[in-house]
Amino acid sequence: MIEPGPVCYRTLAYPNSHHLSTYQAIGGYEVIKDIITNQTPADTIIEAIKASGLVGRGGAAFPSGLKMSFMPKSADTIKYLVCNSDEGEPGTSKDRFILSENPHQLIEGLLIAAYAIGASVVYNYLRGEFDVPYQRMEKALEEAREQGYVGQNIFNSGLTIDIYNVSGAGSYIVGEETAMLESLEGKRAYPRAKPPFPAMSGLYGCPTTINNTETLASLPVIIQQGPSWYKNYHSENSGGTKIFCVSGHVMRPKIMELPLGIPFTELLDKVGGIRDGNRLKAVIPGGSSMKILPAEVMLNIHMDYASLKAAGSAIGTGAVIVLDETCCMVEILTCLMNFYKHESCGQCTPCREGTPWIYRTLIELLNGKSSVAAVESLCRIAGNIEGKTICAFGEAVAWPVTSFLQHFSDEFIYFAEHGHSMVKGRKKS
Amino acid sequence: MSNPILTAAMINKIDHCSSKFPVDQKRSALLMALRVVQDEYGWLSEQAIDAVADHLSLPRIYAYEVVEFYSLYRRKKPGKHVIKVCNSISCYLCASQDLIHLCEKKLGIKLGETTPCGRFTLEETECIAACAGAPAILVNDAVYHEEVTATKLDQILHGLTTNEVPND
Amino acid sequence: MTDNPTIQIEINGQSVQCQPGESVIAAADRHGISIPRFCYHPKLSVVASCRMCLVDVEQSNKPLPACKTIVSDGMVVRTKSELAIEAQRAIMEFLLINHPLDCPICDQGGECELQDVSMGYGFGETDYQQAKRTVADENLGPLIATDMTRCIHCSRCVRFGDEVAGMPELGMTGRGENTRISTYLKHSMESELSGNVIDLCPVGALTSKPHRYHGRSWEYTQHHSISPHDCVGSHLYYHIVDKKSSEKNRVTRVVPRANETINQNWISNRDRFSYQGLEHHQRLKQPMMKKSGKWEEVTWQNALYAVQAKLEHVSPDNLYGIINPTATLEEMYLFRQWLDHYQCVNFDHRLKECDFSDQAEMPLYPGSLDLSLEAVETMESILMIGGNTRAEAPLFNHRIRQATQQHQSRVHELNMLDFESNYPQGHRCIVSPQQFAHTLSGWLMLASDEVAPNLPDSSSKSGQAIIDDLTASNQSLIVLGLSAQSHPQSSQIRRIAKRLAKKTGSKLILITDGPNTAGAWITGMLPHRKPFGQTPETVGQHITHAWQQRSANYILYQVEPDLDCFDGHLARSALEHANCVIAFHSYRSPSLEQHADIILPLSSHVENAGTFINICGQWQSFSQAMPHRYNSRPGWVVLQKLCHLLSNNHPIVSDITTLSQTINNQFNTMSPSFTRIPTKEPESVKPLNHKLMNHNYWSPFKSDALVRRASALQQTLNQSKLLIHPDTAKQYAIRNKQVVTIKSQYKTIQLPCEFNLSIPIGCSAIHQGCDSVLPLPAIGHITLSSVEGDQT
Ligand SMILES: Cc1cc2nc3c(=O)[nH]c(=O)nc-3n(C[C@H](O)[C@H](O)[C@H](O)COP(=O)(O)O)c2cc1C
Ligand code: SF4
Ligand code: FES
Repeated sequence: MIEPGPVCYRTLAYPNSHHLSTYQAIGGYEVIKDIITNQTPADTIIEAIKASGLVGRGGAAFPSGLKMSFMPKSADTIKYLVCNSDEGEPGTSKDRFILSENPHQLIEGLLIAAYAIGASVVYNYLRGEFDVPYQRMEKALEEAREQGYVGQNIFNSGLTIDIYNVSGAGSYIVGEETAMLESLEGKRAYPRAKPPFPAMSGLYGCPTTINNTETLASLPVIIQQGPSWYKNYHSENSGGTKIFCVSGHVMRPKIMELPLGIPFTELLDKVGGIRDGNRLKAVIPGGSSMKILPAEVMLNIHMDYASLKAAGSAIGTGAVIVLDETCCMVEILTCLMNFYKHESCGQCTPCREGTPWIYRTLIELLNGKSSVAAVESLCRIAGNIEGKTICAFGEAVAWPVTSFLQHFSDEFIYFAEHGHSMVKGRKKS
Repeated sequence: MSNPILTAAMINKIDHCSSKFPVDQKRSALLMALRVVQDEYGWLSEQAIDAVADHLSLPRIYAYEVVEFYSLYRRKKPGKHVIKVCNSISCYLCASQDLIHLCEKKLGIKLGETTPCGRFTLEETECIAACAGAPAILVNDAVYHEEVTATKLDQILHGLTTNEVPND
Repeated sequence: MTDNPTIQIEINGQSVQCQPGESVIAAADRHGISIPRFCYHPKLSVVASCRMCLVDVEQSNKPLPACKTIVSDGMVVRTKSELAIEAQRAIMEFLLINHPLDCPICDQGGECELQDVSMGYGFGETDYQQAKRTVADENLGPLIATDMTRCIHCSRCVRFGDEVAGMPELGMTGRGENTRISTYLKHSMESELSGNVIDLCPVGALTSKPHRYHGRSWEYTQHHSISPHDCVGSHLYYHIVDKKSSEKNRVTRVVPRANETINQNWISNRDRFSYQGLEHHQRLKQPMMKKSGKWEEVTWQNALYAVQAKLEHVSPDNLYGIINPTATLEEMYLFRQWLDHYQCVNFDHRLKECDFSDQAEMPLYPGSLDLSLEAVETMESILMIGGNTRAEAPLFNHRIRQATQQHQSRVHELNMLDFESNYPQGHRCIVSPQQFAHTLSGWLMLASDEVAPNLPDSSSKSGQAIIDDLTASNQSLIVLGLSAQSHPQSSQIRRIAKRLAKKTGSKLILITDGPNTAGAWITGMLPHRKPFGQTPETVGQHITHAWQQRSANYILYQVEPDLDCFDGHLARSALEHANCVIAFHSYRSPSLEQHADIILPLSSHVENAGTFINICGQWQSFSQAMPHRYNSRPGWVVLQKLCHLLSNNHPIVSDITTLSQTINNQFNTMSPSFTRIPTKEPESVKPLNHKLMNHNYWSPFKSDALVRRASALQQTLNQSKLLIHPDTAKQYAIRNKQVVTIKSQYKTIQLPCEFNLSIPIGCSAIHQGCDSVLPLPAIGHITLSSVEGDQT
């Protein structure tokens, strides 16, 4: 189900991967120790991260080094680093194992990033369901504190970097970075209207950087091996490694840390191909919010940022959701919309009103009580949400709708006209 | 004065949560403090919510806003064990619907209900990040069970029933 | 407005000057370019959640919310391009799918922002077919009605509670489409400013309960006036129905009139809902005279002659002119002129005070001459002495709160009761009335580095910290509240406060009673001052002396003796033994009916015109909002007639502005500056040696005759009760929740008591509630016993 990998999952090859001794045995905490004892300039680290080509692994793929460079340099206010361990995107299951299986590497990554942006306090926000990961992180932090890696005067340098684990309470939207800040302030997870961006005014109004767990856990290896090692890991400029979580209709669903740029077919081979010898129908390549791509596109694609973008979707969180020929697309889209209807925070009009509207329109379609006109209105409603909301949740709702209808409109129209699915001959319920 | 709802042990835990945040940002501890109390009672009564808000010196409405927003908080007393079946896309593709029906049959209740003996509450949940282990079940908002089959479900339920004894 | 505009943007081709940091919507508003909006409000934080204000900004591929988009030089904005219109229509459709479309039965119909905007931006049609959401209503108490199905989640009401009222009472609960505005625990909204959410709510979700179904906005005429309740003098509008004949000339509601220097966009609940008292069944309709113990209605002419006859032979030193500071400047001026004909010297308006020994040292009028309400917001530290500004002057309190919010101002307090404040508190010291002046005098010793005062450690410590803070601040203020001025040692308190202000470099302001205490001082409603601060030949008797007379003659102007005075019982017994009582009032009240000889019906505030001078010396005039009702008359008309009866030379003006102008001219030419009057060196004050003192605290909804008769406000009050610390109670063998007997010097009453740990030892506090005001001294000594104890 989960395989060791070269970067974030590198301790997984060993027994007791989460122990301090395991991590130390493979050179853990040496990178941050070097940085701090040599007083490496922060800029040098940020430049290295830029050069590595690392982009955010939380979904939005924003260049990580560049994001760090947005933090104001002045030392007069306290600055925060927030690690986004909320892992809520359907299809995504990767950060959970960094937290539970390799917590010390994440801590080292947090220290490196905090050092680079001048943050003295780090919050690692874990979703509320992550009980084992939380316990492991707390234990690891305690050990790191005892070693003098975390807290005051780390590595006897006079420097203070405090790290705290914080637990959420059940909400997908809290994964949105500004919603996470609100939640850290003890409020409902209402995304903030931007600007101001967190680098200017984040947690408690102070400059803040938010990164995904995988992004941050990659840092020790990137610095240790050097930016170009990472960037050219697979082929020139492919941009390092990515954890792919392949789920859905495959023989052996699996989580693997692989080089970016490997062909999709290779990925499919690693999970034993489509289940029951069925044919591939479509893939949602980057978590449920990304646009779905039909089989013919996917079979020719390389799993890297540029290729998926060119194909009209994105790598997102690396959650590869595989759909075989038995899928009824109306039913699948309804399942997705059920999720978004439940998770919309409800503060902005288009999302609060539009998402349930889409969902109920689909339910009526599934119940055979709909029309072609209603199918057409789905795209109109989605279009009215997209680009008009406070946060990217609006896109996360709109993109599945528009892409499903772009590639599979015949199924929707068939359903509307016949009252049952084109795929399974699904009867009116 | 001693608080009939917040025991000294709970206050200790809450204060530990508060200590993670700047002293003038008590509100930050609200989410975790509510969780501390819920973990103890299984749910959050009005008195419990008020007690947490009062302990953190926050307007009570702040606590209600949070309780009503995040889905892990419960406003009704659940059964001793809460079984949540994930029904988001990856699990859905791996027949989570069938798993839900199976649970309903085995427990003799519908989604959202509690068994008459008060032992189990059955619910569905949105994606819990166990997608490669679909279909997945979350027990008591903490314990993951993945690739759940009918046999595995029996074992899980059995384990919960038998483990109960020493706890009682 | 724009001081030095440095940024230029273009909206719809029109070039627009902006201030740096301003939002597009604010700039557009200033230039009269309309952008639809629901969540945006200039006095609240910006959340940009309704998305109604989406506009087309060049360089952006998405429409941007005008409320959250900050102007930058050269920005090009289009509010009517295809992109903008398409966005606005989309949002409008989303807002309407779940909104009831039954405007004709909605109380907001005709003045609903949603209705207005949908006319301009809606499709008219939607393919939404599904059922509309319905939402259960909340009971927010007697003032605010809810129809939560209409809510569009703009969150203005929630932000108001959080940011302006400082009492987060409403919240957004639930998530996504289940988001609701709720108090959660079904309690009423208790903030003194809560009624403002009625104006803020853009739709018909939160409306005025008393106003409900009483009228439609298009049937109203709007009339500008000044609040008759407190020393701030909020600007407001009376909405008056003048179309429907059945309700002709009836105030159907009161709303704020925005005014940056006074009340900004807000009014207090007292200002908003007191209008209900205008229609009270006790309104006096006809002049009345008592003939052989029976009241008879008489004509105005007969009544005025009778007044004249009654006063013809009274001796000046047995004549007392007592006026409520709810009267207008013009009424006071004429009141004095009229009674001057009788050589009256005993004037007073200080109904709620009892210590006047420093009166000669007072300036032309109390309040503050060198402070604006806006300047209060810039104070770095503030010391509040003896009072509860939230109740006494809610919009003054709002300025204090703004100071804490915007300038991190620290607000310290010396009080006799632990009032709940709506801002973060600095150092606080709550002491009994016995210790109150003594403590303050000890603080002055601290400030003067004299011998260490004989104070408990905690009082000394907080005193020192407060003095240090006031001294260190560039801008600091001392506020003397109403209870400090009702205190038996209030002269000393005022002297100390003045000295303390000087020592610490602070400004001093006195919260005053009613809307026109300043006017009363200026027009000589005092025994020791003639109009405009002139000195009289003989100094008359102050109000406590007045009430101690027997067989005296009283002229009471808008005074309900038992309800308006420091010691209601004392006042009433004076009237009982009076020779003659002539009362001017708008309402019949038991005490007047029992003791007066003649009652002249005054028109109510809306039917009157005149001027109030507020706490900062601002002269604020208002005109008659509607014709006088029944056979009542505005006071300034009646008083002129009385003067004219006495002397044909007395000019009668029919236009009040001429009169106001005359007063203003005299004020400008005659008033001496009192800046040099020496204040007596405050003595070191000893604690009062009463065993038990009581603070009889008036609810703000009991403060004057009008508000006392406003039904919805009265419904918000609880039963009166006596609060006492359990340790004090022990000495009297009193148990919690027991009914107790309270004896003051003259009066015995019974009330339930309630233990309360915040009441200082050695005193009790009565919180006056919905029952009639209890005739005990505002602050005075009492004895207590349990009712059982009495029976044995
Ligand atoms: C609706 C929504 C949900 C999100 N959920 C997550 C999440 O669960 N975990 C995560 O790391 N990022 C999530 N993101 C992305 C974050 O907003 C943010 O971009 C990310 O944490 C930045 O880290 P990175 O640059 O390292 O990717 C979400 C974004 C949106 C709009
Ligand atoms: S888009 Fe949806 S989730 Fe995002 S702020 Fe708006 S309502 Fe909340
Ligand atoms: S007014 Fe701008 S988003 Fe509501």
